[in-house]
Amino acid sequence: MKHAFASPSALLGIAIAVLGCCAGVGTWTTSHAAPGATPTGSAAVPKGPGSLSGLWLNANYKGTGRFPARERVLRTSDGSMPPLLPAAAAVLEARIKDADAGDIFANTLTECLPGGIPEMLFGAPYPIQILETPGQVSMLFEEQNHFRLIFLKGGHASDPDPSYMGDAVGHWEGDTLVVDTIGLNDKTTLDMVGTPHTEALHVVERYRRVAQDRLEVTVRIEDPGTFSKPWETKVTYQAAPAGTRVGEYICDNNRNLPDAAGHTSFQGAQGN
Amino acid sequence: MAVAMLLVSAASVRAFAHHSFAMFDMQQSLTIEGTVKDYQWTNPHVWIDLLVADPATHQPVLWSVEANSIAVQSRMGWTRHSLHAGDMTTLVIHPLRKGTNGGSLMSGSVNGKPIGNEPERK
Repeated sequence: MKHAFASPSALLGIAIAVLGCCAGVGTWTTSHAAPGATPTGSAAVPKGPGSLSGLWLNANYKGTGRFPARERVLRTSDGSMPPLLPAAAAVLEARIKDADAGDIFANTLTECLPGGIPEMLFGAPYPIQILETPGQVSMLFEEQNHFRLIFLKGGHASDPDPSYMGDAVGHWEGDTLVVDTIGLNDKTTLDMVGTPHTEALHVVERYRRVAQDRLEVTVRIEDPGTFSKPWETKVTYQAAPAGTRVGEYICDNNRNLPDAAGHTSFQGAQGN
Repeated sequence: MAVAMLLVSAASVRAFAHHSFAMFDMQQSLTIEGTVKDYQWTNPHVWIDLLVADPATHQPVLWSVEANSIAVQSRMGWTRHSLHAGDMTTLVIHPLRKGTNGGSLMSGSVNGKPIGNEPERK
């Protein structure tokens, strides 16, 4: 069946205009509501322990279809490509090339497995609820309803099993929560484009409440099997609109399972 | 079955994360109209399988349209009752880049009435 489309250039112009106006997280782009029951208005900005609890959205989320794959690679804080070693760069470049041809690398999320740390900190347009309780910070991800626990007492487990969320311990340095994560498996990628990593991945996040409706997070990434040196990136979390709740997200009808080539499928009802 | 395929020039800003949507042509918008064969209010994505008449043969052809997760679709005002098998509906989609009969949902309407509270992205 052939369809007559308008000229791509005309559509592109419209698309650029639209994206320029509304880039962000859909309906939440313009929200400045405080998370949960946190006071708003002229009240002092909460700092330190207790200041992270609430529902948050990645204010920098770039979507998955509106930007070329190369632009969606997890970048350094100044927007540069990470310092990939040649073998890792070759893997990533192949996945970018495939994506540009419409053959999308199927990362763990495609199978409804966790994107892992750090991908889940950046990748989703869905709310993340942070809960601070004595000795523990919990992160509830709406995305496929995964959760992550950060322990504030005691150090890392000795020789932790490689896992999706890793072994995460945290402590407060002034108004900043520092989270140190090791023990991550190499099944996940740093982004949905497919930047690889090894089990030597070491992630250090620093969370700080900077406004009623904002958290700033810097993320240091070290993996001598993938990168020539440690590097840092950042993400800003914006408060979800008041009344937002983490919704159920249990995959029971996944029509995008990876195909034999490891690419994301589209299982149309006609097998198209 | 009244069927029309029209080009519209709107573009949407939808938020997906379960998988990359690079498989869809996000710069193209296509309007399809047909009869709902199956409305799947499911995760990780809501799906609409729609019978659309081929403009050349007038025979019904099955299209599959992928929407957001239940939670995201709910925030846009959709519910599990928004569509039913047998309903006539008009959907605006970003078509699959490879040209087969499918796409990602931008908006939907029944009898000219938009579904949800965000009928079409500005």
